[in-house]
Amino acid sequence: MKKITAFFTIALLVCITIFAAFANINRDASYSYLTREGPDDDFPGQYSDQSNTGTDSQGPLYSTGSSWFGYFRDADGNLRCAADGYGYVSCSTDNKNYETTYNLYAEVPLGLQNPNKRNPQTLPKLGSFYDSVHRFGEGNGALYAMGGAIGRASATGKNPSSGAEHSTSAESPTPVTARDLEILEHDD
Amino acid sequence: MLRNLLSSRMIQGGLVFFVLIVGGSLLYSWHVRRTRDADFPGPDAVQVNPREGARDSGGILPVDFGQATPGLEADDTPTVSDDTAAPSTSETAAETIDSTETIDSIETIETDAVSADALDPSKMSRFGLGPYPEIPKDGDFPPNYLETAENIEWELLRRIAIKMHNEGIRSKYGSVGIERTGIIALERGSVLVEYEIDENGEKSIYRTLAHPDDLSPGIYTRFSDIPSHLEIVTPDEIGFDPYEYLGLSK
Repeated sequence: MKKITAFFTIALLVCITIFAAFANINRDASYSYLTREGPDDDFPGQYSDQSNTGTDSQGPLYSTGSSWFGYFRDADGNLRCAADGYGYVSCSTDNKNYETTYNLYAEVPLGLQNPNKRNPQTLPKLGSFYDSVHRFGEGNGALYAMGGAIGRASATGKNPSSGAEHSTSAESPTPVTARDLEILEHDD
Repeated sequence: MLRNLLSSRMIQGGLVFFVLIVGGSLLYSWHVRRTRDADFPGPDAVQVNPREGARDSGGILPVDFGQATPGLEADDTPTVSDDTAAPSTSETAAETIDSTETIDSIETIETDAVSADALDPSKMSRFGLGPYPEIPKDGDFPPNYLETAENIEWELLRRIAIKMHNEGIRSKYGSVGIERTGIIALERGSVLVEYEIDENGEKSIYRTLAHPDDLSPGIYTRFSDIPSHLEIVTPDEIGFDPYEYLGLSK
């Protein structure tokens, strides 16, 4: 009985930790699309591509992290793959003194692009702007499993006049972690 | 079995705790959203529609923000010359700012210099930047704008905002911020890019900074992807020394 109690207690704590960690990420949207491969395709697995997007907004701030991975065949029939990761932050405000600090991150699987990660030094900004970073690359499709690209963005902002503070945080989900998952049929 | 579990005080306590955490978070989330909706009519939120153009990797990559991206055809010619890669000095950037000054604004600068309260410790920078300039009354600056700067970067940035406001040039710029090359003031109609040289020897953009009304969000990889009416700049080209601009000694 004690073991069962301990098990459920630990499980509960893990659930709470996960909830606390993800409660403030992708508050607006978190979705993935999987496209089923066509009848003539012969890709690893049963899907031709995967697209994942997480978005979050608060006050004048908006963040999104997205990623995409797809298989295709080149002119010679060789299996190829492509992936991209994308992080985006925007601040849309009439207040020229609005202060934002933010971070951006984009990654594709190692070997698809060099460097395969970008995390530009992003320092404080005043006023309206958008900033984005991306990674994109292609490679031998036989060497890569679907997924592995990441897009991430977060921002905190403050109106110095009113003291109002805002924050956003977004990260590309996976089909497993996305709140909404849709499987699309091949439509060639 | 279930009855035994539910009668355990630890499980009951854990459930209550969990419900409290979830309920509290939902209440806070509701409060924050209500406050936000009251403060702002809504951000210029873009929507990502990855269903479209998934395999179109020529230039604009699969992220489509659900709105038209004008002028992204391949035959667009960017208003940037080959010499954009050459970094300019901070003096050049400072001259760019200086060239916009008018006689009126120069008179205003003098009022920035040292306030009458220069000897009052509460009117002195906590980060060794000297006496605070006067806070303009018409620029939506709070009275303690400089005193509340959290660190020297924020105080420099706020001083620059005040000086640009006094000079009447702040409205030219969408955002003013700090980058690795110093302060950048991004003019409306300009796009700041960072790029790398790819395996084909071509410039490949990996970062784009612009005003949200000037450029639609998207993945721009080539200079030719940027609409030709926008000027393409790099941090090296427009970065300038904040101390030089403010007339402060380092």
